[in-house]
Amino acid sequence: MKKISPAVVCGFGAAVAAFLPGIKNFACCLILPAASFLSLYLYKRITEDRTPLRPMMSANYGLTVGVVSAVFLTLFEVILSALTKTNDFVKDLPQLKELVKQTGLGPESTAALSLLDRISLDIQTTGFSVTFLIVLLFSNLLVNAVFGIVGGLIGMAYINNREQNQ
Amino acid sequence: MRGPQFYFLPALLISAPLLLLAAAYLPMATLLPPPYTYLLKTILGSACHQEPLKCAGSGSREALLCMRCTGIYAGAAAGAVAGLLLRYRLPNYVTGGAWLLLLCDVLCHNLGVYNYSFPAAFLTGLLAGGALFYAAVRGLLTTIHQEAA
Repeated sequence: MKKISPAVVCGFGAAVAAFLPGIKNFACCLILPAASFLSLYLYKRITEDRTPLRPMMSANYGLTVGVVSAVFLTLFEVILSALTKTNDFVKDLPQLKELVKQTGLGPESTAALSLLDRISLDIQTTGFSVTFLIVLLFSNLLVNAVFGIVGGLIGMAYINNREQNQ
Repeated sequence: MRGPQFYFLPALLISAPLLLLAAAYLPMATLLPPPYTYLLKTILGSACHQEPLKCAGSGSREALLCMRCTGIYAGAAAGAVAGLLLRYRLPNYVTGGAWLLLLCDVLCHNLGVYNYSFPAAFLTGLLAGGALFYAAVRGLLTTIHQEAA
């Protein structure tokens, strides 16, 4: 537990930061790699381990940060949608429909749009949609996991390099 | 013996930015139906702010990454490949300097010193992403070699 706690804490912190308006746009390029880096740094401090960080361990650590942040980010988004009965998806849907009208694409698009309409209606009436939850969780898991691993590897390279120089 | 980490981790550092770029520029290359473009836009939404004025193209043929992020990810892929091929060890201040340059460009644009420029955003992003991923791949390979020795 002592070993995994920095990754869980930093993952949660990254989810909170990525949920805040204004800085949420930097979630992947800054917040997640920084959280992975911080979790590795904290791991080294907590365990007082003097050996260089190992690549697979760093990647796993970054992955844990990414997965934890994706789960919490999705949870926050779902809770906010349930409370306000709206979200970015509902707000953007009219714009998307306008785009479909302009491009005049075939029946496939109409079918997909009716699905999006149903999701929007579910959110506006009950505040929750299973399809939206699945899409959001999948999207967050995919992007956050990759950026978490990348952040872990960058952090490992920096920390090992710094320790070698000392 | 070379373990899976020798192949998998550097491959991930190269393929992740390339896949992101491919997904972002897919709507420009082919006319994807809007719902699919929207899905891609949602997935890439956490990787970039996607402000229309800062993205190449327009309407349904708009790129899903801004020009700076395009530069960062293009540089990241190129830097990762260079890190595999070259043995030169990049000092930390070069990476720091490249990111400082990017930050200066963002600040100058936000403070109104000059207007948003596609070439400046792309170039500063390219340098920052390239330096960071070059250093990351070199560091990764050094650690893997040290472990194997």
